[in-house]
Amino acid sequence: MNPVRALHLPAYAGFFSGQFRKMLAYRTRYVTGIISYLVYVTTYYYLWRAVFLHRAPGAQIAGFTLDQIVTYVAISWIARSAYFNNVDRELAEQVQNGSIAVALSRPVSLQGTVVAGALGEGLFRFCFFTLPIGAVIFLLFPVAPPPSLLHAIAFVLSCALSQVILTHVNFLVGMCAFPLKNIDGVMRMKHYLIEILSGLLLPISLFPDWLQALSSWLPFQAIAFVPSSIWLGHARGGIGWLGDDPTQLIVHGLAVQAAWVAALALLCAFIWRRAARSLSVQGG
Amino acid sequence: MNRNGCKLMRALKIYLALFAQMLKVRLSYRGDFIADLFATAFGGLASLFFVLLFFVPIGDLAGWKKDEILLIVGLSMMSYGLFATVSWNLFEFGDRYIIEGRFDRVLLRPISTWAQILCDQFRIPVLAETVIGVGVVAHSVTNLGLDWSALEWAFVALTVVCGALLYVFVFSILASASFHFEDRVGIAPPVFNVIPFGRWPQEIFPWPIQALLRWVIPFGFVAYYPGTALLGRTGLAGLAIAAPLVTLAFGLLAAFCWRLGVRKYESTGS
Repeated sequence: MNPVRALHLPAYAGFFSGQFRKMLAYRTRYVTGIISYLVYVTTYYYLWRAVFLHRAPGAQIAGFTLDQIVTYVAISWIARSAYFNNVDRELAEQVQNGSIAVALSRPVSLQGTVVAGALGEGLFRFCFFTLPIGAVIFLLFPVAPPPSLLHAIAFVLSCALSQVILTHVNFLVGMCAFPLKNIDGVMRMKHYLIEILSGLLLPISLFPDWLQALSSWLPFQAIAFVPSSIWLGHARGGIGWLGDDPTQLIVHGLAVQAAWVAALALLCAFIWRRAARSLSVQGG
Repeated sequence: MNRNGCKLMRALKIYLALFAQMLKVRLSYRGDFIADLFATAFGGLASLFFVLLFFVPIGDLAGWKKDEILLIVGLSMMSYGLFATVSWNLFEFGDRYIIEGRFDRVLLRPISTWAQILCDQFRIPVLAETVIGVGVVAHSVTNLGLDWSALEWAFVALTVVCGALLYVFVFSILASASFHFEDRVGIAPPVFNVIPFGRWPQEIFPWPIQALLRWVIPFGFVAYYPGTALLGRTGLAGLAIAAPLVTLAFGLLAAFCWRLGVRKYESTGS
């Protein structure tokens, strides 16, 4: 990418604040969104309580005590409320109605504007979704704090990286709109895939070995399993290279996320360049 | 034939013509049809896969064996698949019909507006979920060594139909709220997210949630209470008999809410 182009920071800031303000316009979605997250956490909280009901106090499943797994589940959903976005749907709509052509006429890169917009949405979600959802969940359920302030800071940073990774995954899904026109099916499949393989529904440590091995080669675990493990301060029984040492875990987790950001960013740039070359918009 | 009979026949004819027309439209987009089929099958298998994954490290759940839970999940999937054939318009009702003003056209036709909304975006591919559900139920019945007669299978059929109708009625009530509050998203999403609650043994939840899933958002009746009866478990199995009655009650409530909403409707004027 041209370095001069990449430095159009005020332009990107416009996409950042634009997305932020767009989010403010949906009130019902806001309230129902908060209730939905409460429903998720409540379901899994009682599910795990039932699992541990007939076990000795302090019993472990794949290295998780009840308190730890409840914390994992709650934190994973709280984090999701911040990093979630609909970049794929928004891109597909732009491809379908042809407004994607505008992206080509802008002096800034499409990928940059999409990431900046997603981060703007992320900041909105963090302030107005994640904080209230987190507060309610902390009040209702026994969520353990992170082992140190360093872990708390690393967790926030890790969530921001999750956001960038998910944005790129969604960018790739959105690019499917070029050959497919309607990507509803692809988006639904991606949704199910991420729910399971990111470790959102179930820590990856609890997967059977073959699925753990598969997950370690996919970007999805960097979306939920890494930030939640950082908050917990352990990824025990899980993927070896995440490390058992609480500080090492931070370094390894963030490094893995950064590597996926770089890899996915390159992939997206490559795919977008190819798609843009073959783009033909009718009428204009 | 008397006059009422004639009217009924006429309405039925219009329904069939509309339905056939709509099926033609849907089938003409073959790519969308196949994508929907794949995504539905994928989603059904994914939620099944999650249950299997969940049971790998834990063995059993509060006295419930994996296959017992799978039976309930299978029943719920069968109902959900049937419901999903008509669910699109219920979820998007506020956006498509109220805000974008399509409801005017619906009112012009001489047949029930509710039936039109339900049928207008009928999806066939989502029945894949019902098919997977049948497989899951058959598999767990075999694995559990249950010796079911025709009576039990008839009860399964009744349960599945009642469950699907119950989903339709609950989401119709929520959709009818769009007549009163204009909003693109509506209030259905959190209720939609409550559906998985109904797939797990209800006794693991504290009483307020159990009561909620029994009398307010009665998803416990879709699969769990009938399932406990089918599995011969004691406790709440008696509630299985109430499932058709609850469905009927919610049907009446939904019809009432719909009527109330239609009377309130004012066009966008576009």
